[in-house]
Amino acid sequence: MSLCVTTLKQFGIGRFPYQSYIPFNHHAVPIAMEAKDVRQSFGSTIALDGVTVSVGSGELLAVVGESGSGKTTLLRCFNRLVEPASGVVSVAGRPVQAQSAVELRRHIGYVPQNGGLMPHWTIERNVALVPRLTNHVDPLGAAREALDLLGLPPASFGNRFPDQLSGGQRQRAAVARALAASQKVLLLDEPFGALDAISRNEVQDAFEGVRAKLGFTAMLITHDIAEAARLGDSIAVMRCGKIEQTGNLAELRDNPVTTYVEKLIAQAMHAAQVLTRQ
Amino acid sequence: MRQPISILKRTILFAALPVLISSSAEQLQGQSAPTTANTTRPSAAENAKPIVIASKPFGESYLLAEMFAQLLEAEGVSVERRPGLGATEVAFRAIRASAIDVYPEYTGTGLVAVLKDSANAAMRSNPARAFARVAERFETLYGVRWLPPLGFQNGYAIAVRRATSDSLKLRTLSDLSRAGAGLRAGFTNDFIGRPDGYKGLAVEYGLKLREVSPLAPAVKYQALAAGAVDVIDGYSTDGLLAKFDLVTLEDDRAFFPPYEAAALVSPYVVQQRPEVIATLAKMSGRMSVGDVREWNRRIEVDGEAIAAVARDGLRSMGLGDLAVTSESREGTADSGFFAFFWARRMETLRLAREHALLVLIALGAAIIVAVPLGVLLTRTPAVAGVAMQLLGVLQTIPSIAMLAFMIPLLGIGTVPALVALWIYALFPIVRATYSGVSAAEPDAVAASEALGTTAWQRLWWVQFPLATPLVLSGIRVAAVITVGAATLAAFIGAGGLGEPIVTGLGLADSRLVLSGAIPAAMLAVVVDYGLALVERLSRPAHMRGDVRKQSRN
Repeated sequence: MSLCVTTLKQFGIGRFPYQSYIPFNHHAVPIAMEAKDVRQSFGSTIALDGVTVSVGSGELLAVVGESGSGKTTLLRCFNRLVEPASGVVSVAGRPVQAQSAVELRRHIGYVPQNGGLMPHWTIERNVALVPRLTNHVDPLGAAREALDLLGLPPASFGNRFPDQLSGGQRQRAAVARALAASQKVLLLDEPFGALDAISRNEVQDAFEGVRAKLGFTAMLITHDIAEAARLGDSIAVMRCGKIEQTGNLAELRDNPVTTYVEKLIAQAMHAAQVLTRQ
Repeated sequence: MRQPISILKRTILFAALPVLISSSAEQLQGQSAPTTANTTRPSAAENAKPIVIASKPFGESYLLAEMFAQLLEAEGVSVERRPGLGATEVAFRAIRASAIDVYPEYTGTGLVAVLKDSANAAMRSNPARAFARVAERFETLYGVRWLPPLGFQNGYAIAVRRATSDSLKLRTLSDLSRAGAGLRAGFTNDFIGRPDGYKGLAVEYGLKLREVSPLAPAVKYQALAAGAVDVIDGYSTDGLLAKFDLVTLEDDRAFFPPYEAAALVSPYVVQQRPEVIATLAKMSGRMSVGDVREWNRRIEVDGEAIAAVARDGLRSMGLGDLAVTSESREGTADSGFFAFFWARRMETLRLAREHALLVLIALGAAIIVAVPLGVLLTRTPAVAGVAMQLLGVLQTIPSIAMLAFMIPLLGIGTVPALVALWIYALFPIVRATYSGVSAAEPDAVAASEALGTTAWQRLWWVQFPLATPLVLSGIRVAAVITVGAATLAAFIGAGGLGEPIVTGLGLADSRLVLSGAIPAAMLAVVVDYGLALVERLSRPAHMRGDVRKQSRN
């Protein structure tokens, strides 16, 4: 990563205004989400220690790392739930700090770990929330469409309440809610982390299917390398507020730049081998 | 309790409540009018403001106040009766503010409880000096006047059974200190604790008793008569002294402060109503301890109507030739409780409506203020802690003290009672709203923020709806507290079901107490069930209590 920062510095990251900066684009497509030298600390804890990362349009970046590595803080910078102390965060080429937080969030889908559905609203109404906020002509119609996409037929699920659904169904509804207003960018904060293995697999299937259809850009926080490898176009490994390495699984495995990355991948591979051998 | 009452029955009970309440608005408004018809001849004072006659909540005080009232009515002065005001503190604050105009008081009480003074030796041996002292101090400090004493004292009296008195030759307290070592005493807590009670008495006379146990006022005479104790404290005019044929021991060393009875009149009467003073002064010096003890016996033991005893008393003094037909106390001492209760049913219904209306107004006003306040405090966590503590402190003020504080500001009657009840109802609602809104499903609140709701939308769509069951339970707690506290409102003349409770306590009439307490308890139960139902209906249908219907998780 230090290499990457040096490279970026050559391109003049310190220079302002940032618009004049022509990014080093390793993506084959335009950049949809980007963070540049972002720093943030909470009290004496440094959460983000100069993070620079970008996600190409239509790509999914999986951010892995242990708890406290700063991955959720990084995610929350993109919809301004966290304001960085320094650095620039942009979505679709526009710095988020220049936009109203409320407006910005309505155009970015968000899926938290526990769904975060309103327990007093039906599934339909939950999913219709963002279409309603963005003055969609038919919020319920949009909600039903999204539910259908996620394999929750509105006829049988629309009028249920969240506590009448299984954990997996609730997470599907949460993904539907994040997409119902045709959001182009999604933030997923360990969305499937609390599910049992079988329903996690089912929801991952459903998610992959929707993504193939809609082609949105996404950042996915997870601590599960297998999930990152399965859903992500690339994987960023975070540790102590820094990104140690970004690449696909093969790159991380074959050319780890730090011992942490090496150990992390080796451990996941070992676990997989154990299962295969048995 | 919950199981046998079906939802249907609960619904009916609750549905009946608003009907009961709505028809009683005019009753509450009308309650400041005199309760007894004024059938007297016209006079110069006809158009003047009615003189408010009050009493403290015990039989003799009721009787003297009724005598004042009847005498004034006979002279053509219009009066309003406010019997049974809380305690010395309440009655005194009220008269000082001219919220009431006349009530009977005792010199010793004025000296000790109001002036925080004590009787010196000269006052104890000569009651006139004590009277001169309180009269001068009250007039100077408060503008309140003591009319000349009525003629009797109602001080502490140490009583023994006649048999004890005979066998031990007890006539005086000195005799008791000589022969009392084998006797058991039962004293009221009040008497045991006061410096002018047992403590001082023991020192003054070198009194040593075998044991001293605390006894409730209501049972001490029975305890003495039954031989459970041998010595009790009482008051020199207690009707029960006559009933149980007890001997009171003479205070031969003049230890007890004098308790001469007299009428206290308000600054308003002193300044503007000389005719009231002139009329009441006709009673001065006309009553003996024997007379009063006999009247008290008729009221407390025989259960005769206070108005009738007062009329007879005035007649025996040659005062107040009256055309007033007074209401009689329903039933007699030996009629059964149910007959008594039945005879009072219309009165009870009227009081219940009055009570419900007090609760409804106070609670409604509390909801209007407390719910927005609770929500507001969630936006300002820095202020929330302090505000909550402040309200919590208000909550701990004893009801009687709270009511007494209201008097200098708002006088007596319905308004100060409503304000006091309102203050009590605030805290549970504010606290429930605050904790309900701030603890509402954090995941849902956080997600709705991340999806682009504004703070107001979050409050109205997510936090407040999720807090509703908790807010309602806060309101329910407040409602039950208010129904209970409203019985105390009778102590400052606000009416309601506390009225028969206060009067009944004063007259040691348990039927009268129950005729207020039972409907008040029923009202509390109805309100509790009714609001529990509303609370239940506020949840989505599938969350209404039946756990089996809910899906796994």
